[in-house]
Amino acid sequence: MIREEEKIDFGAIKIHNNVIASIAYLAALEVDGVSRICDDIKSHIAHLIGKKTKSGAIDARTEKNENVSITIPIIVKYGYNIPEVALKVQEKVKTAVEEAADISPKDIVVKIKGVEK
Amino acid sequence: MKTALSILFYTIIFAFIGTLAIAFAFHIIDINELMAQLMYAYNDLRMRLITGLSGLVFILLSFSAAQVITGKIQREKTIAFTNPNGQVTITLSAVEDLIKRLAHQLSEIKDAKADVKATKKGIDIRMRVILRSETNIPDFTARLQDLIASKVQEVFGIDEPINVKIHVAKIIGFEDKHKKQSEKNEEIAVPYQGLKI
Repeated sequence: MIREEEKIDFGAIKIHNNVIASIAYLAALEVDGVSRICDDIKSHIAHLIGKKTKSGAIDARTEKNENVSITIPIIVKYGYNIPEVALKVQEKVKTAVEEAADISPKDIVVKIKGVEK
Repeated sequence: MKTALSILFYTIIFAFIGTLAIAFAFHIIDINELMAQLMYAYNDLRMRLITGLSGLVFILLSFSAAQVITGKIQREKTIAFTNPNGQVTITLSAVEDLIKRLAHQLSEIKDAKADVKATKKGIDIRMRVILRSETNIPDFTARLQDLIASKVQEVFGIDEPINVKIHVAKIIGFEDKHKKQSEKNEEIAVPYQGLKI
């Protein structure tokens, strides 16, 4: 789904949800304590057919009232405090999406899927 | 919504296969007509293309449906808490991963498996461990229970009471390992073995 971001004199600027997911992917990976972002079948297929932008299994959705919610499944490095890592991911993703797309996500759901070294 | 679509997808597929089987069994389908249609689909390039693409779509849809269904099952097994920016869910398998890693760091444990369940009373952790023979089991298991409960509470920030049950499944000794090691040492101790002058 494409989110209509802004209407200016030259035309409308639209930001695809995949773009928001990619921003969230890169931002989440920068957080200390995040080992990796989980993948799903869709992202595997996209990678196989040569899609280079990665967003893993991150799900960015625009609701009817233009609110964006992002779900990020992550694997946390062993030895880190999980609530702290999750909070940092939420803050980092929020800031990154706000800076890059000028969108303030309403909800950032972090799913801890595993712990690894 | 996705689960409903997945169920609808499988219902349609199974209903279609069922109807075909019934029609075939009761001779509702004319076998010659069926063969003619199949021959047409087999030989005509456009029909082959359509059939191949339909197959591909069905495979993708079935993968997607399976993912939705398994995802729903996994979703139920989580611990959740809310931050100002949104919700954080921790799958119970992540808790199991942590416990396993913690257990493998202790020299007294040879192997460990953990099963975590979230109940209304709190978090139930059942551990199955294989210990080394010279371990003092009552002392060690008490220490392990404390360690796991405190580590899980600390790492996951869980406030609920944590109940750790430990099942010692096996106790293994060092003897075999020592034997092998001493045999190896003996072999190494012979200098110039096999040297022909």
